[in-house]
Amino acid sequence: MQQMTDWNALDDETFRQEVRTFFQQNYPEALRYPKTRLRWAEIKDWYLTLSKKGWLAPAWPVEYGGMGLSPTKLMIFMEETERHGVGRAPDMGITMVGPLLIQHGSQAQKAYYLPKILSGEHIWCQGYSEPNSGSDLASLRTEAVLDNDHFIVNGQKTWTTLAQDATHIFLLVRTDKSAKKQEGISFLLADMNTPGIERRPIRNLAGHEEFCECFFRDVRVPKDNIVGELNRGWTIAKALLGFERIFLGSPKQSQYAMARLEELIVQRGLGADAAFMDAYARLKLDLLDHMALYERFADQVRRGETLGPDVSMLKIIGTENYQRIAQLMVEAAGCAGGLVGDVELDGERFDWLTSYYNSRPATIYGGANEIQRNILATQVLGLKS
Amino acid sequence: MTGRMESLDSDEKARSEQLRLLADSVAAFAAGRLPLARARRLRRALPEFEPAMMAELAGQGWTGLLIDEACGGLSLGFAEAAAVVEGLAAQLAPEPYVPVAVLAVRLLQAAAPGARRNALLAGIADGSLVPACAGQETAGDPDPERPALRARRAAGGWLLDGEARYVRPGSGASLYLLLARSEEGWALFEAPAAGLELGMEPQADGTALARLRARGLRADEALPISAEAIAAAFDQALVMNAVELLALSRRMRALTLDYTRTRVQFGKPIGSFQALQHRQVDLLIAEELTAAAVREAIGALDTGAAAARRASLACRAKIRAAETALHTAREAIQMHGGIGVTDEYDLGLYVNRTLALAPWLGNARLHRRRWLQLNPPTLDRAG
Repeated sequence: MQQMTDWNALDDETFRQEVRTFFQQNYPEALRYPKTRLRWAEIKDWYLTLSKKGWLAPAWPVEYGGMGLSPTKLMIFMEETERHGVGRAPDMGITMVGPLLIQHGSQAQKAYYLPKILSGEHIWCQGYSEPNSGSDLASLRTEAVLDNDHFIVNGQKTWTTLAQDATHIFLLVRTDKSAKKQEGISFLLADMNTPGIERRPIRNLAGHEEFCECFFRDVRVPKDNIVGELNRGWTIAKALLGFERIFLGSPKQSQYAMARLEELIVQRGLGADAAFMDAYARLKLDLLDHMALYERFADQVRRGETLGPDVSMLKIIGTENYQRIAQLMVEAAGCAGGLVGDVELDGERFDWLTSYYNSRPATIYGGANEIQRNILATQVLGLKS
Repeated sequence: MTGRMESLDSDEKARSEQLRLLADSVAAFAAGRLPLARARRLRRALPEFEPAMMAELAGQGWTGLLIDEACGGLSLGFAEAAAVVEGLAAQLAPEPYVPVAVLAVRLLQAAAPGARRNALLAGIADGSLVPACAGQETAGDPDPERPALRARRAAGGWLLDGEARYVRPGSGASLYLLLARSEEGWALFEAPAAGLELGMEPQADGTALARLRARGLRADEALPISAEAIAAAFDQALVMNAVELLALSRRMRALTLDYTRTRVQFGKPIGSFQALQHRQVDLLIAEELTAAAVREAIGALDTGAAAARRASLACRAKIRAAETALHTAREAIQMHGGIGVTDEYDLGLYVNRTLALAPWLGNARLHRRRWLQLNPPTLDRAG
C-alpha cells in the first residue's frame, strides 16, 4: 500500500527534489539516455518500481491510482524525467488508454483495465495508422462488424510501436461504411492473444525493430470492449490529448543531441573551422530560441490555460532542429560519418548515426509536420483549404 | 514565502496591466497621428523626421520613459520602452526613438552625474533635444585600440579627431554626443552640428545615416563613461532594434496574409493553396521564435542581468529578429507577386525600413560571431 501524498500541496522545489532524488536512487544507471526505445524486458523492472512507488501515472486522478498532479507539477515531473535521461517505458496504457477510459469508459472497463495498467499486467499498443491511412487517418478501413455479442474485426494496422511487447491494443475501426468518414469510426479494445491477430516487426533503416504491422483476420472482440458510443471513436480519440501536446514539442531531444555535437566539436577541435562554427552557432541559437518559445507555452500550461492549435509550432520547430543537429553531427564526423554504432574518434566514442536515424521519423510521427502546418494555416492563420 | 510570492505575482499582474494600457495608448496614438501616408511623405525629407512629432512623443512621456524622475522622466523599464518602440515601428515613424530615447539616454545615464548630463537628459525627456550618438558602429565592447574618435586634453578643454559613420538620426540632430577615447579612458563629448564636417548617406527607407569628421574639434567638458557601460547601452539599444524588426515582421506578415486571402487566381483565393499556406506558417513560426527571444532579452535587461548574459541575449534577439524580418520581407514580396515590388504599395515601405534597420548596430552575421565568442561550445553535459 502506497502512502497517500498530496503532491500538489508540496512547494515546487521540494517536489522537484523529491522526484530527482528518487530517479537518482532508483533508475538503473545503464539505462540513462537510451539511444533507442527500450524493450519491455529492459525497462520492466523500472516500470514495476514506479508502479510500487505509485508514480506510474502522474497525470491520472488520485482516485484511479494516479498521482493527480497539477499541470505545474506534471511539467516538473516531465522535466526531471528528461533531465535524468529516464527511458520511455511502453506508456500507451498510461498516456492514452487510462485517460480515455477515465473520461469515456464504462464502470466495468475502468475497474478491469486501470489496475492492470498500473500493475504492469497489461501493456498497451496503439492501433491507429494503416498502410493506406497515415496522415489521412480518418480514411482508415479496418472494419468491425457486429455479430451478436462480438465485433468481427478485419484489416491491418501499421507503425504499431512495440506491438511485440504489448498484451493489448486499442483500435480505431470502421463501424459504419455509409457515414461521412469521421463519423463511422469506433474505439475498440482488444487482447493481443485473440485468435486472428498476427504481428510482424518492421525493420527500420538503423536495423532496429520498434514498429510492427498488425493483421486482423476475423478477430472476435467482445461487444463490451467498445469505448464510448458506437461511431463516436474519432471524436473521443481527437479530444484525448490536452495540454500533454506540449511534450511533443519539448526541446529535450535537441538539447541532448546538441550536447553530443558539442563534445564532437571540442574533441575534434572544430572550433577553428569558421564555416562549420557558423553552422553550429545557427543551430544552437535555433535551439535556445525554441527553448524560449517552449517556456511561453509551458507558462500557459502552468497557469492552467488550455493550449490552442498554435502549440503545433513547437513540434515543427523541435523536430526540424533535431534533424539539423543530427545532420551536423554526421558532418562533424568527417570521413567517419558513415560508420555505425559507437565509433572511436580522436580518443572518444561517438554515435552520430543513431541520432541521425532517430531524428528522421520525428517529423513524420505524431502528425507529420506537413499536417501540423496545415493545422496552423487553417486554425491559427484562418486560411481556407 | 507564499505571501511574498503572491505579492510578486500581483506586482507582475499590475505591471502587465500597465504595459497593456501603455501599448493600447501607443497604438491609439499611432493610428491617429502616424498614418502610413505620413511615413511615405517623409521619405527623403530634411530633416528626416518631424521635430514637432518628437515633441509630441515627449508630451506623452515616451522620450523620457527610461529617464529618472529627477531629470523629468518616468523611470520605467525596457518592457515599457518596447511597447512604444513597437507601436512607432509598426507605423514606420521616422522619428529616431531608439537612437535618442534609448541609446543616447542610456549612455548619458551611465556617464558621471553632473549638471550638464542632467540637463541633456531633461532635454530629451521634454523633447527639446534630439542628440545623435557617434563613435561606435556596432553593439558590443568598444575597441580601445581602434576608437573611431580620439580625444586629447588641450588648454581648458579637449580636442577631438576622427571619423564616425552610421550615425542616427542622419539629419535633424540638435547636437552630437561623441564617444571618444583619450588616455584617461572613454568619455562622451558634446558637439554642436556646426563644428563638425557632416555628410549624409541615404538609406533604403528614405532616412539617412550621418557620416562625420572631427578635426581638432574643441569640446569643453568630458563626461567619462566605462567601457562596460558603453557595451550595456549598445546592447540595450540592440534589443530595442530587435523589437522594431519584430514589429516590421508582424506587419509584413499581416499584409501578406490579408493579400493571400483576397487575391483570386484560378478561381480561388491564393491563400487556399498549400504551397503558400506552409510558407506563411513558417513566417508565423519565425515570428513567434523572434518574440520569444526578444521577450527573454527584455526580461534580462529589466532584471539587470550580468554582462555576459545580457550581451548573449541581446545578440540572440538581434540575430533572430534581423533574419526573420529580412526573410519575411523576401517572402512577402514573393507572395504578393508583382505588386510587391512596386513603390505604390505599402509593403515596400516595410521592406525598405527592414533593409535599413537590420544592419544597424551590426547585422546577424556579426552578432552570431560575437555570440559564438561569448558562448564557445563546451563539454557541459547538462546541455
